Formats: sequence, structure tokens, C-alpha cells
Amino acid sequence: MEASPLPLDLLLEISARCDPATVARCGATCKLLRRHVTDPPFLRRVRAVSSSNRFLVGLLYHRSYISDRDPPAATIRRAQVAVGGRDRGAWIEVPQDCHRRRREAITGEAPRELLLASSAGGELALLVWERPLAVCMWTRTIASSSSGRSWARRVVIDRTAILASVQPACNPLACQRVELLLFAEGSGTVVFHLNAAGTALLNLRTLEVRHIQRSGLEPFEFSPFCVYD
Amino acid sequence: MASAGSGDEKAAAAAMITLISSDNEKFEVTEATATLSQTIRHMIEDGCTDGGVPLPNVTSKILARVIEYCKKHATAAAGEEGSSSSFSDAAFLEVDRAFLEELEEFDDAFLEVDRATLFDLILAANYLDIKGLLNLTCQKVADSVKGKTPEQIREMYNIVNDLTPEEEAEIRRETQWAFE
Repeated sequence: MEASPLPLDLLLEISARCDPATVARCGATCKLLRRHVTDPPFLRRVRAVSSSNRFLVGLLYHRSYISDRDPPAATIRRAQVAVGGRDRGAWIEVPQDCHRRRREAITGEAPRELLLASSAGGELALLVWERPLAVCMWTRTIASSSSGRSWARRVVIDRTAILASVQPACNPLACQRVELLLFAEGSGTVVFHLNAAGTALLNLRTLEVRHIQRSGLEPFEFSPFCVYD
Repeated sequence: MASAGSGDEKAAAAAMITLISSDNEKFEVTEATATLSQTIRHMIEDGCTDGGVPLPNVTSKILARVIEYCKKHATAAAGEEGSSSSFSDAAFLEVDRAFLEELEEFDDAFLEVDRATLFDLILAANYLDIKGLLNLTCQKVADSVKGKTPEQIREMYNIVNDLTPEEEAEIRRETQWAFE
């Protein structure tokens, strides 16, 4: 068999212009493409050719750069907002109340309990998995001049609504862990993983939940494989 | 085609560049047309275009198409600049819109080629560093990949499948949503 008519770089250039499902199928053609479309630099390529900034990188916990001197409390209250690349990120303070409501106060390994998103109105929003099973959205409000900006919380979707759309493989009571994986700005879709149930999509505009598969999304977690339209 | 752009520019026509394809065919183009290619722009800036620019990676068939694209897009760019000074805002917007529509129609017609030609155009656009053309052609291929199975994509790109059946099954399991 003769070689591909296009070099790898150009195959990736084309793939960067494909929809996520097609990119995933391109990644299922051979080892080389698979390695490259699941690699973070591919995401940069996608961003470079996107007409709009469709993807928020999401929220990265301040974890790999934690120094020993940082008290654990400080590491958990700060989260990096990375919009358009890690290097151009900015720091935001995560609201205190949000921490109290979160299920586990884990400090070391970053649990995917927070996700940066934008609300239907276009404001910067923080999605939080709260106990026992709910996804809440915190948005920054412009408060009185004295106190500056504050956070407002609203339950986006609760246990009943989640379990109505996502059929768990076992006792629903066991389904408690939610991992917020990705947010696609174009359609306002959040991709999350619910243990014992699989991967599901939550549309922030319609508040509709759609179960997409039983397994997790692990190997592609850094890639823009969420259905944005 | 070989005497491209001979009468359409005023005094600027003096600045002509000769491009030489891999099969040794010569194409004369205006500097405005040629500089849509960053590669050629840099050559002009470095003053090494005397005696023609050899393009050993591009055949005359593909180079003719590339020049056709550049001429159209260079004209459009020049038209926009010219009209901004001589028309009122409303008229300018009108002209602008007409230009864009015409350009879009041109691009659509331009892309009506077979796959081999399309791939050659991508290679040429990449080598000559013509952003607009690269974007246009890559998007065209991207649109045609949509909905294809991995096997169909392999066939299209002439990719040898080196995944084991186990790996393939694993990929399908991990990205089940992409295969439904």
C-alpha cells in the first residue's frame, strides 16, 4: 500500500475542522492518528481554527504547582480559570459556601467536582457537584460597590431529574459521584460522568439530560469530544 | 494562463513575478497575486525572485488552480481597499457584500474538484503558505469526512490499520458515542 497522500500535520489540520464524533472516528483509524487526536496540542489546533472560541478549557485545580508551604485550605479555595490556554489563565476565588456544600474536601488529587462554564445569559459560571446528587451553578453577580462581586447559587439539576434520564446499572442510591468533564460553550452542554451509570450530557439552556454511554470518557478527556451542536 | 494578470493592473503591473512549476511551466503573476503566498512574500522581501521562483513541489496543473484562487482573492482585497475611499459608507457596504458573495460563489465552484486534486491543492497551499486556501480546502475535506466510518476514513487517506482487534474494540468502547 502506498503512503497516505497527506502528511500527518495536514491530516490533523483537517481533523481539527471536523466535529468531535468524526475526530473520534479519525482516531480509530490507526495508532498514529489516535495518539495525536488525544494529545493536548491537538486541542490547541482545534482552537486555532475555530471561528468562535467554542471550548473553555475548563477548570484546573491549582494542584501540580502546589508548594509544600501552601496550606491545603489555600489550594482548594483557589481555582485557575483557563480560557483559551493554560498560560493565559487567571485566578478566581471559589466561593466559601460552595466548598461547604461540596461532597468531599479533598485537597491533593483534583476531583472533577468543579467546572467552568458560561450561563445561558453568557456570564461566567462555576458548575459544582453537590451532595447528595445535584449540579449547581454559581454565577458572579455585580454586588454593591462596597462588597464587590459576590456569588449566586442556583440548582441546575437535582437527583430526581438526573436519575430520570440516566438509568443506572445498579441501585440508584449508589449513584452519587458526579465528575464534571467538559463544557462546550457553543451549545451550552456539560459532559459529566455519573458512577455506575456512565457518561451523560446536560444542556444548560434546556436543562435536558441525555445519557450517551455506559462507560467513561477517560482517554479523551483532554479532547473536545463533547457534542457541541 | 501563462500570461496571467498582464492587463488588469495599472502601473503596478510592472512588478511581475514569474513562478515556475515542477514541470517547468512559467506563470507570470502580479506581485499582489503572488504575495497571498507567505512563502513567496518572504522570497520577494529577501529579493530572490529574479529569474523566477521555482516551485518544485507544485505541478503546472495545480499551480494554475492556485494562481486562479490568488488572483480572485487579491482582486477582492484590492477592490475593498479602493472602494473604501471613493464610496459612501452605505455604498461601500453594498459593494463589500457583493464582493463577499461573489467570492463565496467562486470558492464553492473552485472546490468542485476530485479528491486527488483537492489533496494536491492542500499540499500546495501548505507549501506556499496561503492561509485562506489551506483553510478552504481543509474544511472541504473535513466536511466530506463527516459521517464516515474509520474504515472509510482509512480508505480515503490511504491509512494502514495497525490497531489490533483488541485495541479497536477498546476504542469503540471508550468512544461509544461516536459510533452511534
